[in-house]
Amino acid sequence: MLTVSAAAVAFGQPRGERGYTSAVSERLIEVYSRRFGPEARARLEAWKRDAAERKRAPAREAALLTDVNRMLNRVRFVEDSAHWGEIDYWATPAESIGSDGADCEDFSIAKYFLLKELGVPIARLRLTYVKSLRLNQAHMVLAYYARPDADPLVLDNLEDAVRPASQRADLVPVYSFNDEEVWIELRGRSGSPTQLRNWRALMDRLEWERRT
Amino acid sequence: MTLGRLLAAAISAMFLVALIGVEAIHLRSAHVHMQRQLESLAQDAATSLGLSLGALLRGGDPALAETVINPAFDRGHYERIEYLSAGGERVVSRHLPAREGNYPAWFVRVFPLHAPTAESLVSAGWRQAGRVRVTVHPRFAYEQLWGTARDTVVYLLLIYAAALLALRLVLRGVLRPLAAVEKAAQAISSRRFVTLRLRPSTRELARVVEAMNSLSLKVSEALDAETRRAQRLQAAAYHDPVTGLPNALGFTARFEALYEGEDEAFGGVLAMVDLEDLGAINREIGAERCDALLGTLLGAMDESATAAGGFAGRWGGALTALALPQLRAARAREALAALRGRVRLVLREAGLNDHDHIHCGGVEAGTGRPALQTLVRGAQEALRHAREAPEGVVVVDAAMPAEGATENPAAVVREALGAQRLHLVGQVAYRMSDHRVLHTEVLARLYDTSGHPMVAAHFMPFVVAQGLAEELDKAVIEKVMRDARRGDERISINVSARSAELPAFLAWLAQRLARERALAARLAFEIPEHGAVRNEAAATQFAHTVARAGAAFAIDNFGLHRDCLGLMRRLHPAYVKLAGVQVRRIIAGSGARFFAESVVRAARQLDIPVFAHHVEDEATFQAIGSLGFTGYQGNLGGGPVPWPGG
Repeated sequence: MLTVSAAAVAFGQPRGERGYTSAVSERLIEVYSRRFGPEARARLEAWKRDAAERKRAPAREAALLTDVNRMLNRVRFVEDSAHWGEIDYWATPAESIGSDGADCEDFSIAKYFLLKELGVPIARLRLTYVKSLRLNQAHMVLAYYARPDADPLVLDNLEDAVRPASQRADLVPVYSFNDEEVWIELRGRSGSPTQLRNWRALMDRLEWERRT
Repeated sequence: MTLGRLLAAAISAMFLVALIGVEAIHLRSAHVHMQRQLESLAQDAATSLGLSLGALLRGGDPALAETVINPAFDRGHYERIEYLSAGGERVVSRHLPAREGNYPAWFVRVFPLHAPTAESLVSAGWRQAGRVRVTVHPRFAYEQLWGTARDTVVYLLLIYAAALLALRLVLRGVLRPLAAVEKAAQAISSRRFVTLRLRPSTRELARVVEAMNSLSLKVSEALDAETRRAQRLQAAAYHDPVTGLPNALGFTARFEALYEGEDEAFGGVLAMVDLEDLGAINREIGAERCDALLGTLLGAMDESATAAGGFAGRWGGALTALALPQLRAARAREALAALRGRVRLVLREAGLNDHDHIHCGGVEAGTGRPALQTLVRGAQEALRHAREAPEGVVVVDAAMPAEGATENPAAVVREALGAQRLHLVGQVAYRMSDHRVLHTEVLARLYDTSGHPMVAAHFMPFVVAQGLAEELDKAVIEKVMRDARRGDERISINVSARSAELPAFLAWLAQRLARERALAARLAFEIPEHGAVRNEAAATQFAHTVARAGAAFAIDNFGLHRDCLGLMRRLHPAYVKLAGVQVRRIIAGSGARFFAESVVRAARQLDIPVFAHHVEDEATFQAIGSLGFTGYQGNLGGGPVPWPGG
């Protein structure tokens, strides 16, 4: 398993910090505790502490996936329209944790960035649009591919258990992406996630958080 | 550089800079837009190919993948489309070799577009089926960008041309008054006072025009007053108040002015006509009617004299003097008889049958140079004889000179001109204040076959009569220009009034002077006042020709004609030389002093120097000293000496 610093070197960037717990400053915590209430501070600090501890004592990836899924699933499920006043708002991990509210995209995003920070190569991670047959509605999960041609493990906010996709007949995959192309772009090519409006807006907020 | 050109250059340069700026901004934004379009095209192609491949490639069939990719690739917008398996092997790869586009290579260097590559993941269900990678060909974008650049350059150039045209029209409109003002300023600085009729719409120009016009008006009023004054003085001194013809003084002045110069001598007949019964007529019909009758009669006499190239004057009482320069004795006899008949007819028609006693006496001047007084004495003598003669007319033939009588003067002149036996003499004109040399007036001398100098009074009538004046003037000018090339002397040349009227002579002179402009700038051409008065249009033409060639135009023998000041204002000569007869009259202490003052004052308004001719001695110099002349010429400064000297 790669360490954070190794991943940063491999990606040849200074950008890896975006969306990481390590990018959440004392000042940002201050801002969010004013915005989301005094409990926000405790939640954000616990989240940061947990990530820091995991970095110090790396676990196997399979265990890490289950831990991260379970931990972040503790956040309350709230519809965007009720929580953010917008139909489709992709919140940053710090916003989801701080406000203690997320919907399926927010869960997937928070899991994606935490795993990335903990050293999971993003080539193995894919944010996947699926259709939930059970709920009969659009849904998003995070898929983990141990190898490119492997049967992926699914991190779903509806289930604490991380199961292979072959056992999730209730989900129909539609389209998937990760922000791999973000660093491809740095080498003179354009990448797909930046073309997604919501992803771009998310990146802007992450950048703002990083600078705060 | 004119103000108009400066403005036009500055404004068109600014226009150009602005249009170049517009073009640059336009191309820059088009360039950025084009790059974005390329990237978006790459991404859209990759995404849609990724989705359709994902939906179709459940079994991972390369042939099917190629079938899906081909239609997109064949549109030609893509340099490369690749489909890579999940393991990274190239399953399908279509590549379009780079081709020359329809745009220059430098354009690509100035506006580089990078060929964007976009990727999309291909998923077959949960399974990763690889990725599709699309690189867009920038050729179409370059062609479009180049086309846009060319079109906008053409449009902007058209706009620029239209703007320049509009600018030209606007500037021309705005600056038109300025050109007129500039011309007027030039005219004023050379003391020609013009009035501007235009009313510029811009305040500054309007004020300038107003100021110029008021200046012109003031000067022109002062000149008008001076002219009127001079005319009054001259009229009083020279004219008979009853008939309007010259009185004895006027006749003498005019005669001397015409025939005392070197260029023309009086070779005709001087006649006296006596209306013996004038006193009786006066008593019979009263002074008023008598004066009217006298006016008619003397008018008739003046007509006869004018027909003979001369003029008439009331000598005093019943005596009238006639100068008939173009007539020899025989012809004069006929003319006088006809005149006598005509006068008698008038008298009879007036019912004065008993008072028709008219006598005419004349004397032929012939060669030599008889003074007017001698001629008058001769004519009065002839008149006495005429009273006894039945026909009432006696004209005495001139005595034939004993020597050279056989020589035909015209032939001699022609021969002398041909053989270049032409010699020049020069007389210097000095400044009044410090006696410094101002210029040298050059005169012609001809020599006969035996080498004796010919007196101008002898040959000039023949020169004029034979139409040789032009030839002589040309010869003199040619010689002066040849001999004056060295040195820096300023030279004035007399041109006969007849030559100055000839267009051919003018053309020749312009051409001759154009060949040596530096020398021309040292030359002044003088024509006599009577010539300028006789044909003012020709004199104006002559003045323009001379001025255009860079030489000066001057009037000689000035101050004899009634309208001499008007002439001066209209022709604006470089200087005038007051006639000798006027200078002599100043010494005589008559009203000529006031007249001369008037001339000098008017000339000063116009910045025209006035020279005094025939200043023969210290007494004359003293007499004219306080009148304000610029320079003088005459025996006091030295008579004519061979030129060029030394």
